[in-house]
Amino acid sequence: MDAEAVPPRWRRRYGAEFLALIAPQPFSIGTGFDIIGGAIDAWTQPQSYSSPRAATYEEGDKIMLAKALRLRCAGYGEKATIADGLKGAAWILGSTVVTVIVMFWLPREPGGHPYRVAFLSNGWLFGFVISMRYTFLKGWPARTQAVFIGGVISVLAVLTVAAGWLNAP
Amino acid sequence: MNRRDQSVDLDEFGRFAEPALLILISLADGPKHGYAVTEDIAAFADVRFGPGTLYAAIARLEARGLIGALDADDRRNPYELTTRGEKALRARLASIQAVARVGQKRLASA
Repeated sequence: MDAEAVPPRWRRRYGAEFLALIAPQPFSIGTGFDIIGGAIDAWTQPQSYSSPRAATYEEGDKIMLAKALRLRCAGYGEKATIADGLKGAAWILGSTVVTVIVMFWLPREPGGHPYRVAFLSNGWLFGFVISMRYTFLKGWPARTQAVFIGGVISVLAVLTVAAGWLNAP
Repeated sequence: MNRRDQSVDLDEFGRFAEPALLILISLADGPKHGYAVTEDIAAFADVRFGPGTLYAAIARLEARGLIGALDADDRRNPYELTTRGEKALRARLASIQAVARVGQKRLASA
């Protein structure tokens, strides 16, 4: 198996014994698919091999609060905590407040500047996407987070520019 | 620890719940490394898990503290059942036994 096929953390922990297990086995298509499935699982469910123990009843109230906070900002990952939920909420609220302040601070123009209006209308969305780092994307590799957040923000920026262009006189 | 959060541990494994249960049963009579677990499960359950499935389940069990790794033997890590894993296994087997008893009772009276 290609060592790059699994996340580095998984590879460091299980790589040697995994290779020791498959080395003497005759290759079959079924085994190949199983290994690919395992690699996909390791990439898509990183929290599955790094989760803390299951919560006890005593921790239930905190978990409920954390879930409520996470749902209000950006979904949640298995490892997100209350502090993460607050950070995510801070990004959304912060970007919204900054957008509103900038909107009031900028000189008004008759009919509004189309590009400016488009960016200010979507300002909170940029904060929302960044907040996912603390909630929905928590536990994913940094590179995956960067690609996801960068990609979504890029698409968002293109759509915003397109909206400004469509509204331009 | 109560019975509910023991059973939740395996329930949250999704499609890896059955492999996880069989791994716990395999480790119930002593530590084993991955290959020995595979062979043991094949012997007592007539199921042979692929390496991807096996290690996905092992990783989940270890992350939740149901099994623990011992010192590496060559490149192979033996795993042992933890106290938490033993309790979770007992709870799950009791649950399975209760369901089986109901099924057998109903079949007997049918």
